[in-house]
Amino acid sequence: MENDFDILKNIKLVNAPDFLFTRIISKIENRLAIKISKGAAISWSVSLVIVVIVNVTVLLSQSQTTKQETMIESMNLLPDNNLYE
Amino acid sequence: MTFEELYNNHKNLVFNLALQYVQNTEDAQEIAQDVFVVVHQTLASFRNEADPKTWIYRVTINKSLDFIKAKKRQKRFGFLTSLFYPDSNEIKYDQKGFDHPGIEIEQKESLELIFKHINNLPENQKTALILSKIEDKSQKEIADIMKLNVKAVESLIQRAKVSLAKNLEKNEGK
Repeated sequence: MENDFDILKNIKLVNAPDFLFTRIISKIENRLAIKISKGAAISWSVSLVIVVIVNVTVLLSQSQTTKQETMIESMNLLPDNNLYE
Repeated sequence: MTFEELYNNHKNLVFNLALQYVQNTEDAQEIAQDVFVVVHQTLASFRNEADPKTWIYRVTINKSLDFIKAKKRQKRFGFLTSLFYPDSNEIKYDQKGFDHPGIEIEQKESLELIFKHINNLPENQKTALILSKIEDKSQKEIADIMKLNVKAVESLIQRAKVSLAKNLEKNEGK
């Protein structure tokens, strides 16, 4: 049985190709670029969401005030607690 | 130790070990690239280790096994695609043949057969056998690399040898 495996010892060591290092460096650089663009995309989308939320909040609060004011006006009421003008 | 130093000290180790797993130059180059990308990413934690060799062995083994799994998935996916879209040429399994530059032509046929059976062994048996019989590592070193105890390594090598011998016998009988 051992003889079958002895042949495995005849496998020679080979040198890694010279261009391997260049390829590795370019792969690392590509990954960094992807990481940076991912980070930028995430920060852009987060800021967009914040802007949208702020806009919606402002719009909603404004429309509520307008509704309240319209109702008060229609009923000829004063918006404060004074009974007489 | 800088990345370049680490690369220069271990490039042949990584490339040869990957070759023992995939027996193909192109695939071994791809694995070696992935290994050194990981090494670069974890360079800071790596600098404190006295001998990074064991760690590099581990990364290479894991990356080689992942690569083989990915190839198998790709093969299955390619087969399924060919069932549903017989005319599709877009997704096809890229089958690369036995092309081990460390093997001489006279021994190519017999070693190709042995590797065919080694490739069918369970992952840990395959790793133990490669480290022991091809990389010529001691059982203690293999135990360190595989994070096992020496007894477990001994048993893995023994089981690998037995099933390999059985399969080779079967093959001779055919």
